[in-house]
Amino acid sequence: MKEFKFYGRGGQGIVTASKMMVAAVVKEERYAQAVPSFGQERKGAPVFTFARVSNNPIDLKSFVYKPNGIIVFDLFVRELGINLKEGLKSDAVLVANTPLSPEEMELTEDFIKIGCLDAFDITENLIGTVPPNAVMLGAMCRTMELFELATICNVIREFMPGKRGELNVEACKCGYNSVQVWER
Amino acid sequence: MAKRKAMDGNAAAAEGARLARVQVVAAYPITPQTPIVEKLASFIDEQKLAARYINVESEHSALCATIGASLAGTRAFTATASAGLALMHEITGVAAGCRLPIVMPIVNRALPSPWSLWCDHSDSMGERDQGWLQIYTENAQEALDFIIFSYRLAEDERVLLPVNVCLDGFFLSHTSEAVIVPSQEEVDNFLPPYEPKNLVLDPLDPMAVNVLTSPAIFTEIKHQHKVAMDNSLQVFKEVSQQFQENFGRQYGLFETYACNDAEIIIVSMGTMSGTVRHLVKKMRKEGQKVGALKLTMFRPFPGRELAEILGKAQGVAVIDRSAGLGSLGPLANEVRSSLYDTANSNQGPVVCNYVAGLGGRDVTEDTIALIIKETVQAVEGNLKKSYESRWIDLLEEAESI
Repeated sequence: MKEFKFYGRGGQGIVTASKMMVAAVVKEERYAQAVPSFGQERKGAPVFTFARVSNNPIDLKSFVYKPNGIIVFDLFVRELGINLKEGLKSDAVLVANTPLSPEEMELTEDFIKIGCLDAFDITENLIGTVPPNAVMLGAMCRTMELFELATICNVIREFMPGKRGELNVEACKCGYNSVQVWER
Repeated sequence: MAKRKAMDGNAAAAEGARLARVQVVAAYPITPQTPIVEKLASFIDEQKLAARYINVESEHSALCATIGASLAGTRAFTATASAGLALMHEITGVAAGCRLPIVMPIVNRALPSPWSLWCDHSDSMGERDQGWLQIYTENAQEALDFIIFSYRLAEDERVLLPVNVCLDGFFLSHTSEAVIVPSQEEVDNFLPPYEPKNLVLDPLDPMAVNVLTSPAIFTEIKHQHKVAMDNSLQVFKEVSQQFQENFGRQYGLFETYACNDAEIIIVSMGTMSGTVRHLVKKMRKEGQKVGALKLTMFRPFPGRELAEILGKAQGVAVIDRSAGLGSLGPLANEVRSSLYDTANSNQGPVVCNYVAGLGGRDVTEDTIALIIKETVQAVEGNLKKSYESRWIDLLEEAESI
């Protein structure tokens, strides 16, 4: 079983992204769980949510305290006092939305693998001013290797039928192809 | 064919209601229950469910309308949480006393004050003596299954009582996981169309319902209710057998894990039961004789069946997700009471009560590990036995906050 923590700011869609990741893993006949942590935060405040992925049924129903990986929808949460290194397992993976390179982020000591890209920029160019979900899911797919690109594209189509879904599928593929992956 | 898909507890409960072909939904939104009734409203709008949706102005009215719909001979549904349930309280007794087979999920959320949006069982515990059956679910699969299961149980002639299916707010209601969704045909084979077997309103043959009842027969009417409550334990077992044959999933009044030779057994309800089982599995691998008992049916309380399992342990740790102010937690009171005869023979287990997870506090593996450690100490006599609950996840600075 692998456990994940998503970081972002209120309104960036981390809960939906975690649900879509879970839907993809379940589609591939494995087990997954997205446990949200809702607070009274306003838009823009730092928020987090959790997920688990496993080949077997998952008994645990608590939050995640020692993640095997973190997904950061906005690296700016660091400036808001969030410690991204909290509880990390020694073999942790990072997927981050940032214009910085893995080295520039100064996090290569804490992760064995890092995938990063400017998801805001890609999303803005392809879809407009919307949450960077689809691009991040593409980047997660490539970096974390937990589900296939075709599966997550189908999940996006189910969550967002019609033209909006197809735009988001394009964004997801662009995230997959654009992510810069660094490995120790 | 059944389909496997990811959904959260609220979506699963709504899906259960759709598959049960409920005919009337009367509900008022309240966090964290709202997505259930939103989903049902969409099903009706998209013609995926042939039902009437009644918009109401409060939870009090929601249950009144649901009672009316049930009395008119339809399979009726509503759902609520926390303060909404408290507002219904006057009417919950009417639904039960009129012997109406309504199914109403409670998405557990702490009752104020202090104000909270988050999970504990204080809301449903406030209804525990109102004469409804109460079922607590651990995951989204159980949430879906028990909506269907509960209509069959409620509508049995020997029962004819309303059922609360309880889902932990957020930890279940908003947690996505894999669920096997049965086909409509499979559900239809298990749950036949609703046929009223008791009171039915007929404009051509008017009658009064819930009338002033004199002391001459009040006790007898209540006793009929008590008999139905008692019957429901046996009917639950029969429905469970049928459910297992039709769907391949088995549900008991409670579920045990590694209890046979366990020295310490942890008793819990709802989502924390999964975390308890996870830890028990780990500790068993290390050779520690611990077991887990997840209670599904809280009302009626299956005390006799429970005592048979728990009576053999040396220590029983009961975790309550409600404060039980002025006494032990409500679950611990029931468990201690059911073990009284065993305890009198001087061989009964030490029963320790832990209050945890109030107002949405996460019940972690660490919390449960501490509960087991303290229970072992109590069994060994190193911890003073006392008739009080231990607030196990309390912060050290509790008195200065």
